[in-house]
Amino acid sequence: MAIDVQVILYQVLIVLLPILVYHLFFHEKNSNLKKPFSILMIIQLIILVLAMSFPIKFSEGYVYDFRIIPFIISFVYGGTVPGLITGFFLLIYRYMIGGAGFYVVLVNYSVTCAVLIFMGKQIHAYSKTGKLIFVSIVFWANTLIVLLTLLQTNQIGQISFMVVFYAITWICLMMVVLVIENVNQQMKIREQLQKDEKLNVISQLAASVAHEVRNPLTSVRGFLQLISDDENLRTAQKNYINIALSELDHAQVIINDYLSLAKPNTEELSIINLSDEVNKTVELMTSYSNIQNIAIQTTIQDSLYMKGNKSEIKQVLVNIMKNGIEAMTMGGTLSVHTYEKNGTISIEIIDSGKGMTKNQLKKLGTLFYTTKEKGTGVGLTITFQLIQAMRGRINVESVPGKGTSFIIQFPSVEKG
Amino acid sequence: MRKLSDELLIESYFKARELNLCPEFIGLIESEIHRRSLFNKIRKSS
Repeated sequence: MAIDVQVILYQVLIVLLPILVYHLFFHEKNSNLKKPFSILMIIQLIILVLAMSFPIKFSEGYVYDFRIIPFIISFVYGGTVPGLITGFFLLIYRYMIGGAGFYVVLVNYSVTCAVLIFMGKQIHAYSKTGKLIFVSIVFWANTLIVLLTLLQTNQIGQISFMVVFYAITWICLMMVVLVIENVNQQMKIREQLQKDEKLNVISQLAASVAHEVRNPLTSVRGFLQLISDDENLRTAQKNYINIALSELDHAQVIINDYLSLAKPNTEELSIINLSDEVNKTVELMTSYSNIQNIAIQTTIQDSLYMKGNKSEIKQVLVNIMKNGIEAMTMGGTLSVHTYEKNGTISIEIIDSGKGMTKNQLKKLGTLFYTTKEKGTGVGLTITFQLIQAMRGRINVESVPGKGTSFIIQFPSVEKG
Repeated sequence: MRKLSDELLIESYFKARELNLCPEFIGLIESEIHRRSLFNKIRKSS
């Protein structure tokens, strides 16, 4: 038994060391993991070969090792293709080793494989605990099949050893999943932090420049207005002044946009009636949409309450509706639907305008990115930030030429 | 604003108030008037 413990510990080392080394030296992006031969995949294959080369031999033909760990990890973190490659390697290597257990392995891993492929798309959406539970279920189901085959072939002597062995394997598997999840989480936080830092610096700079420019602009605008009051002016001159004034107004709108970037979100959230706010905003936008020959169609459920800030919600809605209206240069309909479902309030704002390509969608909300001719690329950045600050989520779908839909979701609260 | 003569500054101030121009602009002129210590002039006449 003492020798067994040593061998089992070797197996633990074989599995854990490469995983730790991988996370120490390589920082792979999540999208890269889906490729058939990402670094993680190669590490998994190395673990697989090492684990199977130095197994615990219980009796002739019955060997125990940690091969299931790289197998499951490849499926959960790589996907179907990397998982199949690992599975294929596993079977070939097992066949080369030979022995009585091969067909048990073949059947067992084929079934596990099928389950993992079937669940493949959903695994990625699971949280850390979800993944741990899912991996455990798959693992123990796999173990159960092995157990049943052992019972059938009357290898009862192996069973107590097997249970202990698989318990250790399970702990090891959990550790691997935890290591990968924790490192992924930390990388995500670091990326977010870098992004936030960058945004913060840029917005502070933009806002301070905007602030400095505002006073000169105000006085230019004021003196122009004073001139335009002069009776000696010719009509042409008056027109010029009017053009200058309207351009100045445009500049002021841009500057106000930039200034709101640096506005700290210190205002506290309170319980507000979202239905009222949506109704008011739609009313506000109606005059603007009429000019552009656009109808606004609404279905708004009554008395929906959420935690938020009235003026910020309004800013969010105005920004998105204005974008929608501006996207419909040839006229059309803007639909606004607000409803509650399972404790979540959804606001859908759907236009039938130009739409956006996938590339444009990806960059949406990035500071200074705009698809409009006269846009600043600030509006949606603020909108996204505000929604995030109110614990909401936003989802944008778009088809070029067909239109865009913005779906904003907030957790609903009882009226307090 | 600083290049404006005192008289013209005061004149602009009244005209701006008369035309109901944006309060920020009036505020700018006011602060310039204060800077030059001319506020007696606008108080007397108003």
